[in-house]
Amino acid sequence: MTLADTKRHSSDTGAARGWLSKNLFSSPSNSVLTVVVGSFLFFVLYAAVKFIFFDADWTIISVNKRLIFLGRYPQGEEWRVWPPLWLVFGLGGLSYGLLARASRRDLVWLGVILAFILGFLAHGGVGLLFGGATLFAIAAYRVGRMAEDRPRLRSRLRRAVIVGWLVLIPFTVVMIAAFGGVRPALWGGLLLNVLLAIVGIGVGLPLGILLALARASSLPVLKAVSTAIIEVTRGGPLVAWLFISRFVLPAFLPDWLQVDPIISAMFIVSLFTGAYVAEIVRGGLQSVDPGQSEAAHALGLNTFNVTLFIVLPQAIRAVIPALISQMIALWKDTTLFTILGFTDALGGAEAAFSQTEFIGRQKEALLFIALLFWSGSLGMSRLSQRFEKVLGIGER
Amino acid sequence: MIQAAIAAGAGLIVFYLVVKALDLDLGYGFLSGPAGFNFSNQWLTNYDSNDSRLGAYGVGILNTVRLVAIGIVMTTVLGVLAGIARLSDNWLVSRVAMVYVETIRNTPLLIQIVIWYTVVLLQLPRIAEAINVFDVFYLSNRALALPYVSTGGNFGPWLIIVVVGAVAAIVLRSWLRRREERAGGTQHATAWALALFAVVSVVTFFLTGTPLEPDTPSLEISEVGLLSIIGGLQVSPEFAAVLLGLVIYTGAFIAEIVRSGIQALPRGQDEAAAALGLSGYQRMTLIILPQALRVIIPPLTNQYLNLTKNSSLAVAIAYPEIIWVGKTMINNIGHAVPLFVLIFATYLSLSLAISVVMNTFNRRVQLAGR
Amino acid sequence: MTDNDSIDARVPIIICEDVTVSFGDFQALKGISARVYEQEVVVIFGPSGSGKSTFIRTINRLEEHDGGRIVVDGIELNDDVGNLEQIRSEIGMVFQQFNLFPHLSVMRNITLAPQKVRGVPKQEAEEQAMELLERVGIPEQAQKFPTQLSGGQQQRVAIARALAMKPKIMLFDEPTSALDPEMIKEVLDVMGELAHSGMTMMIVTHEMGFAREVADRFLFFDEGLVVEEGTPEQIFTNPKEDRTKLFLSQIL
Repeated sequence: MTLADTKRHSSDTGAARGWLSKNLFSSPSNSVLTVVVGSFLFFVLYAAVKFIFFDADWTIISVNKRLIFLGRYPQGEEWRVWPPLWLVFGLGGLSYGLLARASRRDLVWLGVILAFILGFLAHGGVGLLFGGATLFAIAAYRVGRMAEDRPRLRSRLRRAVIVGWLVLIPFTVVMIAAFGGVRPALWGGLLLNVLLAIVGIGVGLPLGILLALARASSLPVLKAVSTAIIEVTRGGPLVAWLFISRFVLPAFLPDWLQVDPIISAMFIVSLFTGAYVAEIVRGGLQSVDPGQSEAAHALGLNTFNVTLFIVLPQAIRAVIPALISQMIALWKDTTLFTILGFTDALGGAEAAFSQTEFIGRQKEALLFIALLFWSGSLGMSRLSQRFEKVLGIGER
Repeated sequence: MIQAAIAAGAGLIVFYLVVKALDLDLGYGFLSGPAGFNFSNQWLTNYDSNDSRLGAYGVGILNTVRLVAIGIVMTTVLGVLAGIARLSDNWLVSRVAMVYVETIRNTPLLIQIVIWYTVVLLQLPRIAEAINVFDVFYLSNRALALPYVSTGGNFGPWLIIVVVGAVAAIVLRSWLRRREERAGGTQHATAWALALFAVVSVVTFFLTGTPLEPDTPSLEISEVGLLSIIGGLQVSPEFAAVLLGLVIYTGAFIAEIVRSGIQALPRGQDEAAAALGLSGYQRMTLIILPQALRVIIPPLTNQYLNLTKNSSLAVAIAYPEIIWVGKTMINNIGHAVPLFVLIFATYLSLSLAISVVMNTFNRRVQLAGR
Repeated sequence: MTDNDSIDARVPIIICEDVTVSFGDFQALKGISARVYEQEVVVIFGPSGSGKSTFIRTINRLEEHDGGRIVVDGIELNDDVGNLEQIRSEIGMVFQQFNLFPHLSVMRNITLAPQKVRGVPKQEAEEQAMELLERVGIPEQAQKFPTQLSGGQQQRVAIARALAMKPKIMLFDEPTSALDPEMIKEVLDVMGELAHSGMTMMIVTHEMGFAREVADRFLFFDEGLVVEEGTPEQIFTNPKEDRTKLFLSQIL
């Protein structure tokens, strides 16, 4: 019994045909699916290309870019924003360089995002400053990579990076608000979203860790108090908390503590983030093998040192992906400040399309800021995936 | 020692808050007064601005519950489909599902709701030029009118017969199932049960004299010469925008949960089932999903709770759910503290109800075979 | 071809002609031609990464071949899903990692496929399952769940599960590699009994002592090719290829 030789020829067209028949037309029902989804996709792509390149009028963005990026931030004070931005770019580049080699995909994404932002900002000084910040980040990344096989330089840079991130919030606030700077009420646009996100995570993270430790402690009073704070905070939506910061908080604060609405909203956002961080960290604490703290106690470390140096680092390492998800959630939630009437990026966009000359241009304005937030979230989630791979952490 | 200090500190703060709160009116007496505002959206109720504030809050609760209930059902369907599509052998289908997930979950929900509202729904034509689809759908910027049914004369008796028919169908199905197990072969239990149910409901439908009548919307001119859409199920653009936003946003997260739940299973499970000759559908329903559900349900419950809390974003486009009602009352007459306590109690009850249902379901899934 | 006349006269139940399988750029099988005859026991051995597991998995299409032909019991393996399900229900497979369904009891693991695929009545399926459990020596475990059993017991349940479909062919993919040493024998005993009862079997294994006892024929795999083929006598006393000699000297 001999079978005919059916060895397939392996020319390029054959390979392409093979790929098509395997991945798109492997069975009749699959072919139908391909055709239906394909035509839907074609329709969507056609509409998108037609809109972006032909029907859309992007002047609403170029005219209102200040409103979207800075809100009602006063003219002439923009210089205060640049030093913190350069610091963020430098620290970001250096941290990345110390942790991992950039993958080609990440670079492509970063390039696309930067090109997109530059496309709207690249006029004179702003473009130069922004481009400079980008070059600075790349240089910092190179330095981080160079330190890979120099342990001493590496540990020194590590310490510098940690200090840098810790200093970032006070530095930013001082740069913008101090020395005759800009009142919080005038912070706006995407700048406000970024500030809210940074303060929210910067205050919420340590607060959340403290709450988690308190909830895990053996002191009943401490445990009860932190459990109450966490559960009540998580009990209602952020929108409700924002209205509380507006309607309720002022009535309860003494006169000397009455602050700008933006500051009290920042306080609420930090508390809210802290409660969610606390639950994430609590999960991490529970995932640490009890043998670890037993071993550390056996070495004679006291409870404080065991927690700080043995348990907490392992717990946080295990939940880094979840913490980054929380950061992304916070970044998206900063748009809720529009509901309180603050002119953040979304508020700026809404203000832009209510101008008479731009009536009917909601699409352009909203899609533009959607893209801004999307690229920020996507950047964070890509970094998170990268670090997960490098640090060898699995999703919990 | 530390305990005492913390207790003292907490006590002091609580004391301060209580003293401050005593200055405020914390009673709920104000809820019996007339609200003085009316609703753009009502469901099952006929609220009037002279009715009490308590009634107004009740309308708010109904509006929230309606959003959450319909939203959870729709987002589950969308999310499960998209999650399975992500794992499809069909390259195009899995890519489209991936782009959906990555675009939607990385964009703020509020922006999505605002886009649905201002870019899509408010851009529909005025009522006079409402888009007419086959004379049964009317799409306008004031309302989306969908075909619906209205109850006729013998609706009550017919409903009872239908329920009895459904019970009979379930009994028939389990009897056929048992026979199938005893005698072997396939008895098409589900098909026979569906057939029985269909025959019973259709035959009695005509015997009782059409208890349900189709209620298709139509465009009509009132006495004063105003055009309006009459009849059908009318959905306001606010409700539609929030619902679309919530369903599509939460669906992207559920898709990821379903995908990772299925992928978490060892590949050998599917291979062993395939090697036994089980079909793709049988593998999915008998081997993969029962095991994946154990991993999926807890995070799925979390997404339901998120959807419930996210329904508060509706306040941004003035859909009158509880936060909007609360905010409006506070703007009118104050009483912020008792109102927020009420709002938190409402969200807590909703979350609790969802958790109880899902935990019961979860326990059943976990128990089935350890 | 090394086949002698007496074997050629019998009916081949599996025919493989020039089968190739690739994973991306890596070609795992580079053109395998082999036949398995009814009631024959064929043992496949070779160094790890030689393609022996891939080959046995290709027979019931857990891996897809991209070249050549495979015909099982007169049915060609191709994209036709109907063919595939028919072939799979006639081939029993036992995996290295057992792959029992953890959410189903031992009994249900065994009765599921006969009921759902073959339409066997429940009672009959359960009686048959009990017979099989007695044959593999663990009738008392019927109502337990897989995680409550030892590895050896799990693998014997897996064999019973495969046999419940009354297969014409049984494939064993390193069935004892994941077992503790003291459990290997109980599984090999079951397989030996099966071989003597006349089942057609293809076995990937490193247990050469067992293989020599039960095998009618050996296939030696290396780097995706059948390097040598022969009876136990030929392979053990007079291997022709240097690679075979080297490998046997390393493992014996």
